[in-house]
Amino acid sequence: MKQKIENREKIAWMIAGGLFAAVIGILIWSSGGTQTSEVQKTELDNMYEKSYYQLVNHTQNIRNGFDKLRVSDDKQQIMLQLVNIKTEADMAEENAGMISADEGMSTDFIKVINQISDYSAYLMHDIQMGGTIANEEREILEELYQCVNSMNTLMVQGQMDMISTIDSGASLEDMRFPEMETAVQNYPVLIYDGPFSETVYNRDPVELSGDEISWEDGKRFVAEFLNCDQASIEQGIDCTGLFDTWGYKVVKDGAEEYVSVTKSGGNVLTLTGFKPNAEPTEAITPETCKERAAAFLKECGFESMKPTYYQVKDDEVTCNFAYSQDDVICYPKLIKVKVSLAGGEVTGFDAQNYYAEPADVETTEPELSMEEARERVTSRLDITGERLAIIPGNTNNQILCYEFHGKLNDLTYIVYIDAKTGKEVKIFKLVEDETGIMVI
Amino acid sequence: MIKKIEKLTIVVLFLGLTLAISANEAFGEVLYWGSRGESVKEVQRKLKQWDYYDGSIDGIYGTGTQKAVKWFQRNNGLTPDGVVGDSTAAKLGITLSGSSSTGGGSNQATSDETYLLARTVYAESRGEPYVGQVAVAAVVLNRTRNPSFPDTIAGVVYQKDAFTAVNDGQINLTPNDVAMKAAKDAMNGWDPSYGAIYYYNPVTAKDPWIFSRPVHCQIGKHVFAK
Repeated sequence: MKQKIENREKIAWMIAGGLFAAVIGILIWSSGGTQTSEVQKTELDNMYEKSYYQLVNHTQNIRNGFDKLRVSDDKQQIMLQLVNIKTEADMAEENAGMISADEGMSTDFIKVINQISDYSAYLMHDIQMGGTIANEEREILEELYQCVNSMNTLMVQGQMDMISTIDSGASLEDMRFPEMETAVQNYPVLIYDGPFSETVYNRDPVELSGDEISWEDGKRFVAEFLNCDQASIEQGIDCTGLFDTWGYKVVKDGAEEYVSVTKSGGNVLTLTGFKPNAEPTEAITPETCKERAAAFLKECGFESMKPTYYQVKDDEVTCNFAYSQDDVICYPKLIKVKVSLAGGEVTGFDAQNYYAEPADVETTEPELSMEEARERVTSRLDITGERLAIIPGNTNNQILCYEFHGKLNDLTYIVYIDAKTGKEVKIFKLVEDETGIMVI
Repeated sequence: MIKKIEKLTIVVLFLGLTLAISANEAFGEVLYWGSRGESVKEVQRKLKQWDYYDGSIDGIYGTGTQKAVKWFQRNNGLTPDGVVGDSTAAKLGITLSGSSSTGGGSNQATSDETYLLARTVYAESRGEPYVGQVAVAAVVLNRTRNPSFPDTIAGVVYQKDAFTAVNDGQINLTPNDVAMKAAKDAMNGWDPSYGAIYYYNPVTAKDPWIFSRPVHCQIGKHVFAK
C-alpha cells in the first residue's frame, strides 16, 4: 500500500516537473517570438524613417536646383541643374512609394515629382537640339518651383511629426503622407513634348464617326463577327473611358468570351477570352496562325492592314497588323489578333489603337528623298530594305520617317530617319526566333 | 524616369505590340534573361563548373546568369548577346531540345515582371471573370504610365497600402493559368478598362474619395475608374 502511494507521489512529481518544463519552454519560445516581432517592427519603422528622411532630402535638393536654375542663362549651367533636378526627382519618387499611398495624397506629390523629372528631360533634349528655354517655359518652371517650395515646407513639417512620433515611442506603421492639397492648388497644367504631358496620359475620349447604335444592333454585329447564333449572346460589360462601348458575353464550348462594340459606328473593338492551355498541334504553326489572322481581318472588312510583328505565347500567337496607305505603313494605327496554336481559331482581337487614330492617315510629302535619308544611316549598316513609315512620337503625335532595315554582323536593326528634319529618331534591334519577332 | 520614358516609348509607341517587356520571355530552345526551368539550371551548372558563374543554381535566368553567358560567349568566339541558342548551347556542351514546352503548364518560361503581375492578378481578382482579371493587370500597367504613380510594375504593386492583397500576403500565392494569361494579355496591350487607374469593390471600399473618380465600368465585383 505504502509503495503504491510512493509511486503515485513519484508520478505526480514527474507530471508536475514535465508541466513546469513545458511552461518554461513556452515562455522562452513566446519571448523569442515577441523579440522577433519587435525586431521586425523596428526594422519596418527604420525603413519608413529612412525613406522619409531621404524623401525630404531629395525634395530639398530639387528646390535647390530650381533656386539655381532661376538665376542662370548659361546653357551648360542650365543643363547641369536640369540633370540634378531630374535625378533628385527620380530618387524622390522611389522613396515616396515606400510611404503610405493614401489616394489623393501621395499621388499629388508623385505626380508633381514625375512631371518635374519628365519636363526637365524635355527641356534638356530641347537644349541639346540647339534650343533655349523660352519665356513661357521659364514661367512654367517658376510655377513648378513655387509648388516644390510649398511641398518641401509640408514635407519638413511631416518630418517633425515623424520625429515626435518616434520620440513618443509609437510605431510609424500608420504614418501617412502629408496632405499636399494646398501645395498643388496652383499647379500648372503641363503640356509639352513628353509622355507625361497632360494631353498624353489624360487623353480625351475618342470620338468616332457613324450613327449611334442600340445594344440590339451591336448584338447583331457580334453574331456576325463571331459567326454565332444571336441567342447565345448575353449582356456583357458596357464601358466608357477612352471609348464608349456596349458589352456582350458569349459562352462557347464552356469558355466565356467578352466582346465590346463602339456605340458610335458599331465597330467591334475588342474580343477578350480565356481558354485553358492546350497542346499545340503540328498541323498549326505560327505561320498558319498569321495567315488565319490576316484572313480574319479581311473577312471583317479591314483591307489595308499589313502584318508587322508577332509573338508566340503559350498556345497562342499574337499577330500585329499596321494600317498601310499609299505604301506608307502607319504603326500607330494597329490591330492585334490572337490565334490559337491548338485549334487555329481567333481567340483575341483588339482594335483600340486602330480606332483611336483618324480614319484616314494624313501623309505629308517628305522633305528628304529616300537617297538623302539613306545617306544619314551609318555606312556600317548593310541596308536590306527601306520604305516610308509613320511612327508615334512622344505625345501621341505622328512622325513621317524613312524606315531602313539592315544588318550589322549577326544583328538586324530598324533605323528611322525623320523625313522632314533628317534626324535619326529611333533605332530598334530585331530579335527573331521561333517564338516570334520582337523589337527592342 | 528614364526607364519609364523608354518603356512608354516602346509600349505606347510601337506597336502596342509586345516589345521589350515581353522580349524577356523565352520558350522552346532559346534561353534569355527571364527564362526559367531545368535548361537554365543546366546552363548555370556548366557555367559554374568553368568558373564563369558564381550565383546559385536556381533555374532562373537573371542578370548574373546573363553576365556569365556573355563572358562565356566572348571567350569562345560567339556573339556576346547573353542569349543561349544552339551555338552557345553546343559550346557549353548541352542540348536544349525538349527543355521547355510551348504547351503551357507551370514550367513555362516567363519574365519576372509578368510573373509579378500575374501574382497581383491572382491575389486581387481570382474568381473574377477573365476579362476582369485582364483589367486588373491593365490598371497596374496604366499606373506605370501615369505620373501620379511609381514607374515600374514592382513600384506600383509594392507601393505602400496600394493593394490589400500585398498587405495581407496573398501576393505570394502561386498564380494559376488564368491569372498568367490575363497578365500576358495585359502586357500585350489588352485593356478592357479603357485606361482606368483605380479599381475598387463598391461594397467594401472605405475611402469616400474613391467614389468621386469617374467610373469606366464594373466587371464582376470591381468598379474600374480613372
